[in-house]
Amino acid sequence: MKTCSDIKNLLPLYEDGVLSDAEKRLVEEHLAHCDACCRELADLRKAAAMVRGLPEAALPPWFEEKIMARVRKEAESQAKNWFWPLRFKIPVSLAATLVIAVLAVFIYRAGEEPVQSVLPGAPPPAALETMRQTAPPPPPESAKKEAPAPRKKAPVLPRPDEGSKAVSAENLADVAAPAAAPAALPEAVETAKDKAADVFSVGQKGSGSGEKRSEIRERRPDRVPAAPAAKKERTEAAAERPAAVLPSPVRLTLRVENPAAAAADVEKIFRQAGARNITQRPMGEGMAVSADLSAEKWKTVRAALGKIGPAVESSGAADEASGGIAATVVLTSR
Amino acid sequence: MRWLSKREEGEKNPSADDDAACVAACRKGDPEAFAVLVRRHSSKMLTVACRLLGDYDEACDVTQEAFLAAYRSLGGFRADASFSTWLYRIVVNCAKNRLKKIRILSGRESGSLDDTESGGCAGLACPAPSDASDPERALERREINAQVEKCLATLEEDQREVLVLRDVRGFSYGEIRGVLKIPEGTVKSRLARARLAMKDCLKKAMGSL
Repeated sequence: MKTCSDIKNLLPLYEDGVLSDAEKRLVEEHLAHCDACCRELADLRKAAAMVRGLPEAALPPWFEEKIMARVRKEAESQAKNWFWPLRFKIPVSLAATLVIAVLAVFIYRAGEEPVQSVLPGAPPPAALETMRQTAPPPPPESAKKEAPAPRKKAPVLPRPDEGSKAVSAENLADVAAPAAAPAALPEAVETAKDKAADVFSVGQKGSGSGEKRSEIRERRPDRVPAAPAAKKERTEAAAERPAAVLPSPVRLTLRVENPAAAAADVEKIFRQAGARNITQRPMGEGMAVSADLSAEKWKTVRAALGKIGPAVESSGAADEASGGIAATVVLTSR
Repeated sequence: MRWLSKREEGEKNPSADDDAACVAACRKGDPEAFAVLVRRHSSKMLTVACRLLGDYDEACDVTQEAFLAAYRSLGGFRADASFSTWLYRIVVNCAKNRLKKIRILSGRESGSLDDTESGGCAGLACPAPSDASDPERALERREINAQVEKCLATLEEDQREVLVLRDVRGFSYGEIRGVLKIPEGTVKSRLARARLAMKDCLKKAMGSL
């Protein structure tokens, strides 16, 4: 005998005629002597009748017209759509791709110069810093206004008798000196830039960056229209003597009996010659004395040093140096 | 406003051949042929949407959306199924999607709008002609309908779909299977549970049936 719970799930479907014969017989046998399940079945019938009694929803006014208006609009858009019934959005995506491509090219072109400035061939920040320090402070407004006239005088033009070599640190220094030629500020800045570029190009020998920079400068001739030839020569001269603004290193090795005593003599000679930054330091078995002094004084010092001991080794272009000299005298025992 | 009669009176379904002819005309580029299909099926579709959603305005919106979706998809309609069954499927899917959206928006766990502030569908139905002469009975009928709608709203979504198609629309089990794309055993089990839940709900609300 089946219990009420066994046929509970069959009762709702009993009157639909979807139960199998066995299930139907089970339900009928149980209902024959179970009043509770009979009442359950009656309730199910009433509930189903109530659900069936729900009326149909009334259509709102103009319902069909509203739908058809949208359908007609859809039909029109389908007629206009070349790709219907395909759902591609090719025209839109194609246009978007083209716009992005054009924008990318434009941005690349526009940013070409800034990009080159950060490429490996660009001057390092240290060189730029040197350039800024070398550049004089901005002149007053009146000086700026007068600038074009003296600029044309081109104080950096090479003198015929000196050739291109003559336009070097001295000329650069003259140009950069604000008191001497305040109106030449743009030239000085230009020169400083060149200097920085050339200093860097020395460090980057063989990389081709110097040539690249020259190309860039050549591409912008309008920057110094007054004296392009002078600038070119200046550039070449500066390229030949990249360290002109720095003291030329000169090294002299003397053989002495007592390096420590000789070091004191050397320092004395340096002091008498008015050298600066005189320092002594031990080097191997001997001593080294370094000092900064002018090229003219070096000649005097060099003669005095010959009395201390014989020179065994000398390096550095002291004769050619026209600016400062960073001299190092190494004293070794015999 | 045009009031509709009960399902049994309005169920004089046009033949499937008429629907097929209209569909063929639409496919050939005559959108006006679709108006015939809208006129023929809109009331039944709106009723199903209304019973599934429990909100008249939402049901109207969903029915329009379903008709438009049907028009767009006419190319994919296969003649081996009846147009109305195919359309019911679209309406049920649109209603389910709308319920999902509403549930997400309102952050609620379960489905229908009927237990919210919305008015439901009962007040927009037409009273039976016999009730017109007996206002008391018409009022009682309206109250019962409102209660039935409330109970319908408490059902699980999948149970409500089966109950609406079977007991409200009078579909056969095979038709329900075709619309909902579920096996017949699932239809039976869902229907049995839905009827039991409905009976319990009504009995609880009304005392006795």
